[in-house]
This record gives sequence, structure tokens and C-alpha cells, in this order.
Amino acid sequence: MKHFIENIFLSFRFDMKTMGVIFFVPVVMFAFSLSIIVLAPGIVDDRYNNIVVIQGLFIPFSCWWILYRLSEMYEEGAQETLVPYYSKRFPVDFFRYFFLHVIGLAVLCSILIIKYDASILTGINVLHFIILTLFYMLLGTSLIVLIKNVEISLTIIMIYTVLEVITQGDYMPWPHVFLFDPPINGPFLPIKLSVLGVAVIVLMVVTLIFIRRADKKPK
Amino acid sequence: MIQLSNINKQMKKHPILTDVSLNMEGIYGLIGPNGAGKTTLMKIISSLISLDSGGLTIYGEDYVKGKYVKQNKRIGYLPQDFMVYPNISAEEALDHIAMLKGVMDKRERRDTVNQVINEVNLQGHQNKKMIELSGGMRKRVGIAQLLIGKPSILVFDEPTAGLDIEERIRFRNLLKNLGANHTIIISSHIVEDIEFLSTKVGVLKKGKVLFEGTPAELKAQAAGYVWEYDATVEELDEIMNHKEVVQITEEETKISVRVFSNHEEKEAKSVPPRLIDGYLAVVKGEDE
Ligand SMILES: Nc1ncnc2c1ncn2[C@@H]1O[C@H](COP(=O)(O)OP(=O)(O)O)[C@@H](O)[C@H]1O
Ligand SMILES: [Mg+2]
Repeated sequence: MKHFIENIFLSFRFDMKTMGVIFFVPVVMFAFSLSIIVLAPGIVDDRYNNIVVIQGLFIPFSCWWILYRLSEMYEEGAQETLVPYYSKRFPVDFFRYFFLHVIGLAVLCSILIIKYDASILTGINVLHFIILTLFYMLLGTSLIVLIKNVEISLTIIMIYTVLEVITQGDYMPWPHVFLFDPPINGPFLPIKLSVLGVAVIVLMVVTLIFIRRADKKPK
Repeated sequence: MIQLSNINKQMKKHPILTDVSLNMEGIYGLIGPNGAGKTTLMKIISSLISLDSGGLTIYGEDYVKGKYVKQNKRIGYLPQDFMVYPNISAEEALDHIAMLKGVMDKRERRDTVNQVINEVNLQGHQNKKMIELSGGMRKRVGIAQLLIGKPSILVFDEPTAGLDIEERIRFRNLLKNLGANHTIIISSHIVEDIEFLSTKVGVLKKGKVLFEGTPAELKAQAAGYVWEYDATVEELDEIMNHKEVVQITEEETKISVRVFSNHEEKEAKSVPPRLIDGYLAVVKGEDE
């Protein structure tokens, strides 16, 4: 246990060393989301926008660290030397970033409840946040193991996110993952959560299959 | 001893390796022109890519499982280029890799890292960033990270490519030292690289094994085919136009020209072949 905690600590220090300033981007996005929530005028009609901020601004960056961590597996020579070991390490890295993001979520949710009241958040919202975080992390890992390029993967994720947020989940012919309106009971909600759940499982399978594929490296 | 039997591999419907059977031991040199399939074969041996058919045993124990050579701790592979974690020091990179390889105790990890740094003579360079290290030093880091897992078989793909002459010589010494307690397989398209180093060589071309044996046996492949002319500058042109010249050496008063020929060269003297001659005899023979 002592080794485990020590290693987690060392892993974060290692992240900061290898990533440099890039490491702090999700932290900045957290601070940004937090200040929007704190500074928003708090008009009753606009309340739900806070929840959209969490979905569209904070959660998408949950893929950031794991993407950069995995991208190092595609550096010169790493594919042949480190990937066999790294794929065993992957779950540990995944969960330490997931855990950190869940803490971020908890802070943002608490601030929301303090500023407004408990009615602003439903259990469905909280559940949705968590699944959405998993969705974004696994979307990131799937893209990087398939494309093997961090910039392209991030660009795809950001374009997807911006399109979804701007069109509020209309128009584009793919499954929509955000909740742009307060969740109300009806057939629509379980469908959306199921779609998200299935997406999470599919992306997890894709990640686990392709993380080890050394002979599929595109030239 | 690693025994390969009838290994076949196709990629995109092209045969890359055809019935490759080799017995690898000692410091084993795998030579062949570019595109011969050396990298492909080494990656198959190191469980990195699949094979279509064939067998691999290590000291008699079967290591092929399904389409791959079984993942194992005995074989360590160093790719042609090794450039990981550019922004941190060699020591930090090795420490992290040791953790990935399961050395969880901090003190044990520090000891292991120091030990492998000594083994590859990286002392004095361990605090430099990976990106600041020379090609030869980076290769050493690559070997050091392999040694963390204590493999008994080391597979090095073109380890001297891209190194300058001085680095090459030092690297050769390092390989020789490692050869004392490891089986080493090195590939190269340059015969000089493995000369004086290998105890056994295999020649690969277009995915086929053309020769396997000791360096002396490879030399013997060219016995009787190598001739040496003592030429003047004027004669040199003439010889180069009509003969298959393998080497030209300028000496004080003359130019000595080694040529390859399967019939007697009247004006030249027959000379004992070198390793390169044996290699060329084997590789050229295939073209005709
Ligand atoms: N991923 C691949 N797909 C198709 N052909 C490949 C692939 N990798 C290598 N080859 C082909 O296989 C042959 C052997 O390549 P390689 O093993 O790299 O040779 P060497 O290392 O001896 O230079 C070459 O003709 C090369 O073009
Ligand atoms: Mg090669």
C-alpha cells in the first residue's frame, strides 16, 4: 500500500516533468469552469447553463492527461519496448486521472449547490457527469491508440465538442451525449444514458484491443 | 540456442520471409541488404509481430503460441531508434521504465537503475536529458532499459547504424562484453559491423536464408574467387570497366584492386577471401 501511494505520487510528478506546462491545461479549465459558475449572475432562468459549462468545458478535458501519457507510447522505439509493459500500467493511470476528475466534479457540484440549492442537481445529472467523464477519457484513448497522434486526436475531440455544444445536440447525425435541458422523466432519458453507456463499453474495448498493436503502425 | 524452423510471413500479400530456418547462438550476426527482412524476423522473435507459420524453440522449449512467439522475459528487443521521454534525464527515464516493468520499491529501483547504468557504461551521462544524448548514448539507454528485466537473449536491430566511427568501436566493445553472459542477435546491412564480433552469422536476402555458419565458413564461400591486381591509375579504369571490383586500396606506389571472378585472372594473384567477399559471393550468387 505504501508503495502504491508513493508510486501514484511519483507518477504525477513524472507527468509534470514530461508534459511540462501542458500538464496544467485541465487545471486551468477547472479554474475557468469554477469561475464561470461562481461569477455567473445567478438568474433563475440561466441556472441550467452552469451544468452545460461542466459538461462542455470541464469534462471534455478529462481526456487530456491520459492522451498525453499514451502519446509517449508512440515515440521512436517505444512501441517495441514499452508498450508491452505500458498496457499493464494503463488501468492505474486511467483511474488516477479519472479519480482526479471526479474530485473536480465534486467540487464544482458542491459550489453549485452552495450557490443555488440542492434542487439544481438531480441524481441523474451526477450520474451523467460521471459517465460522460468516462466517455471522454475513453474517446481520447480510443483515438490515440488508433491514430497514434495526440494533436489530431485532440482536434477531433474539440471539434466534436464544439459542434455538439453550438448545435445543442441537434442536426449532426451521431449520438448526442450532452444533457442540454434539465432531465425530465420520459423515454428519452434512459435512451440517452444507454447510448452513452454502450459508447463507453465500445470505446473501452477498442482501447484495450488496439493499445497493444505494434504491427499495425501506419507508416 | 534459439532455433527457428520454417518461419513464413506475408504482409499485404507479399512474402516477406520464406521458410526461414536458423540456429542462433553466441553473438549472432544477421546480415543482408536493406529490405531482406531482418527487422521483420527480429520483431517476430521478440513477440512484436505475428508469424504466419513456423516454429521457434529456445533450448528446446517451444515458444510459439498461436500466431505469435509467446510473450516472455527471456528476450529483450532494442529497435533501430530509441528516443523515448525526450524531456527528462536518462536516469529518470530508466527509473520510470523500471516502474513500468514492475520494480515497485523505490530503493530497489534506484539500485537496479544504477546497476544497468554501470553495465552499459553510461556513468557521467545519466543526468543529461534524453534529447541531449548522442545516438550512441541513447542506444546505451535503450540497452540499459532492456537489462532491467534481466533477459538472457538480446535482440539488437542495426545497433551501429547512425553512429560515428568512435562510437561504433566503443559500442562494439560493449556488445562484446554483454556477449559474455547473454545470447546476442544483431542485424546489419554492413558486414564490417559484425566482423570480429560475431561467432556465427546468417545471411538473409529477399526473405530467404542464403547462408548460415561461422565467419570462417562464410569467408570460405569466396575461396578461389578473389583476385588482386596491382594497378596503376590508368589501368584502374580499364579494370573497373571490365571486372567486378570489390575493393580498391591505394598504397604508396600502386593501387591494389580486389576483384571477384569465377575463372582465373592471369595478371592477378589469388588472395584469401575476407568476410565481405564471402558475403558478396553468397548474395551475388543469388542474383544470377
Ligand atoms: N508493415 C509492412 N507492410 C508491408 N510490407 C512491409 C512492412 N514492413 C516491412 N515491409 C516489407 O518487408 C520487407 C522487409 O523489410 P524489413 O524487415 O524492414 O527489412 P530489413 O530490416 O532487412 O531492411 C521490405 O520489402 C519491406 O518493404
Ligand atoms: Mg531493418
